[in-house]
Amino acid sequence: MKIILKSIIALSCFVLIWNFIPANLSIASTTDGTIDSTYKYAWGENIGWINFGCDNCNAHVTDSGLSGYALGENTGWIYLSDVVNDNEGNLSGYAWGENIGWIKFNPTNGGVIINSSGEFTGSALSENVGWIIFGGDYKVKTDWRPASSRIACNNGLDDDSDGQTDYPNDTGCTSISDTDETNPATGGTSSGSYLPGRNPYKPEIVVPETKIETIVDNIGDGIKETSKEIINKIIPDFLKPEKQEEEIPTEEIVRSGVPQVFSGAWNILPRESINNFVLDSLPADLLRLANKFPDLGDTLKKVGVHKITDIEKLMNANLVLPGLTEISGLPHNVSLANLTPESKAQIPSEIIFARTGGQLIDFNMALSVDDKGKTEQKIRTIVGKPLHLIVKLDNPAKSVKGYVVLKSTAKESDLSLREIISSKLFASSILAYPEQKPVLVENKLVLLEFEYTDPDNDGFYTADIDSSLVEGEYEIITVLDFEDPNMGKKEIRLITVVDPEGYIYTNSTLGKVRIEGATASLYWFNGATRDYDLWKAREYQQINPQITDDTGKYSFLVPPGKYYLKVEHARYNYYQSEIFEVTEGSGVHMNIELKAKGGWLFRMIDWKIILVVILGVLLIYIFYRDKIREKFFRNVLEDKLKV
Amino acid sequence: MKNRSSILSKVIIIVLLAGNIIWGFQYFNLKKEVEVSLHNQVLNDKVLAFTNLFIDKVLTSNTEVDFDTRLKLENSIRELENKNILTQWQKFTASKTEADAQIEVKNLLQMLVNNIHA
Repeated sequence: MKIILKSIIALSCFVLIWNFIPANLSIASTTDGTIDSTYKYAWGENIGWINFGCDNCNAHVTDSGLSGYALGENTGWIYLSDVVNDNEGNLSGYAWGENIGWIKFNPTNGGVIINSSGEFTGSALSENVGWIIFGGDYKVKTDWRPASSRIACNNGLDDDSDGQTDYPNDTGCTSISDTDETNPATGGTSSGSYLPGRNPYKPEIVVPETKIETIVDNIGDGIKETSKEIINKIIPDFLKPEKQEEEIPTEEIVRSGVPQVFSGAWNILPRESINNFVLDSLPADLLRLANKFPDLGDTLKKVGVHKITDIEKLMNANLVLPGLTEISGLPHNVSLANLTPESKAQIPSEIIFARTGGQLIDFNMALSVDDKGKTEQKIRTIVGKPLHLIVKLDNPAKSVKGYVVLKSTAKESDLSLREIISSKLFASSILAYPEQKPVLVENKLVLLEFEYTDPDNDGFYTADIDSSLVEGEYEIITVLDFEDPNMGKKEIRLITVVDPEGYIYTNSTLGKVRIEGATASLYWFNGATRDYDLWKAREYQQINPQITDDTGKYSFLVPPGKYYLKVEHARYNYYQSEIFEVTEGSGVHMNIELKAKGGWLFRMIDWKIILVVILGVLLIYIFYRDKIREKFFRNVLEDKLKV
Repeated sequence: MKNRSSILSKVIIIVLLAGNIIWGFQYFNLKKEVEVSLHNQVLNDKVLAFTNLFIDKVLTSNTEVDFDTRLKLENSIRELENKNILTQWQKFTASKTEADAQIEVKNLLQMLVNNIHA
């Protein structure tokens, strides 16, 4: 058992040692030499050490010259392949240093020779950095040997002129270290020599010293080979070092020719995609809008938005598209029916315009552009207010249908989660584009479905809807179904943000309390009278003044102008706002706080507090009376006892 | 009494041994992590060095890439010791048409970037 254990340990040690033997250990060659791993540095008088045996140098010495590279510690790579060897170690020609230029190996007053021991001796001259010294303290050694000093069976020569060269080709060579290529004599002749004074009948065989070395070497080689074979058989495959795939040396790959990719003739980077990214024109949505609204096109040009990479400039910009009245170049307060044919012709087609107030107030259409260049048109209205939608078509349509879908609510709505998710999937922010696939409308998804009509066949399709009663963000999708089958269907989308109405309230101990019965009056600046008059809401299908219900809500949708708001209530101080300016299509819906008459005391005291105070006073009075009565009876009792 | 101290010393030895084993295990785990981290760092440096060289000498060059640069590139890409990248590099260098080269260079750059460890 102990023996087995010892054997395993010994084998393990052997395996370990075997694994640590360098894989690249190779038998030296005198015809194709490598650089010694110890003696590999030459010295440049101005550039320091030059390593001829670095990892990637792969320097070789052959009968015809050097190959591979040397690496200067300060100068980088030196290409050696143009250095010539005359077979006897006399080097000539030039090496090329990437940073130091040409290095001559046989300069005047110098020159480099590889001697019979494989040592580089002498000095080479660099055109830029002076002498490079070999030998002495700066040894570079190779296992290549000059032809004249090589062993016969490894010198690359046919020494015995039998047409065979070196071991193993020459049958006269018993190994690579055999010094004689001569074929062994046949027919019983002796290879020995007769010496005077010796018995010629008993000749003494004299073996030359070199032959002895050869024999010893042969025995050594034999043992090596045999032991290798045995070890190979003993060691299981998984313990053997991994066979490494033979890798083609890099310099061979590089030297094999310049690949076309490095010729400099090709555009390696795909310029088309780069150009597409950098120089592509504006997105189709934006271009279409710029064509339909020339002012927008001018603005884009002025601010330098020419290509898709300029879109970033627009991301935080507040762009506003003009309303119908502004486009047609007419004064305000003109309904569509009253527009002249010339004005109607100026209105761009396939754009949804929204109006309110009996078609007399245009909504501001805010235009936003996201980072992908997609545009989104947005209007703001107030809950429950009427919306008059107009779309102009250049081609006759079979039907123009509209759908209102929910995008997001400001607060929780009564819709189920499924309905909201489905609705969100249905809605997306695309301006107007040919319909990719039919709009599958389920009643559940759509909050409102309506149809546009064109009773006078002037190409203007209109629809009247009321904005949602729940504040939030909605999308009005208009589907144009053209009569011409080639035009198919188109979708136009308009985001509608529904803001809450304003409300009138007062702050009490219970928090904000909405005020019922407050009168909200809106006054506008009348240019004719140069004074503020009560705004004529009737003209815009609205009421002014408005009297609040128990929600305290009020709101006005007004045309542009200067306004102020006045709120009155019998129990509260009246409120008058500062003068404010309204831009096109904006609503007046600010929240207003009223303060109770009588100052802070009246604000603090309400009927509940008064009731509590009265009850408290009554309780105190009852306690007081009980005490008085008790005292009275006690006195009466004491008097009776005395009596 | 003697018996009790013997048990105590055995327990202490066992506890110490267990502690050593646990700490040793943790030490080697940590060492492995550090080695992996260092290896990744070295690899990142190599990838970046190659990418830098490639962009500087090949992608931004309008002339033929010289022998030394090609050799440097070949050595640098081999230093990454990544078979996939080497194969992709070989595909790139073996491109026969400009269109092929453009596709392969995109793949190569993508592969290089993907091999940078965060």
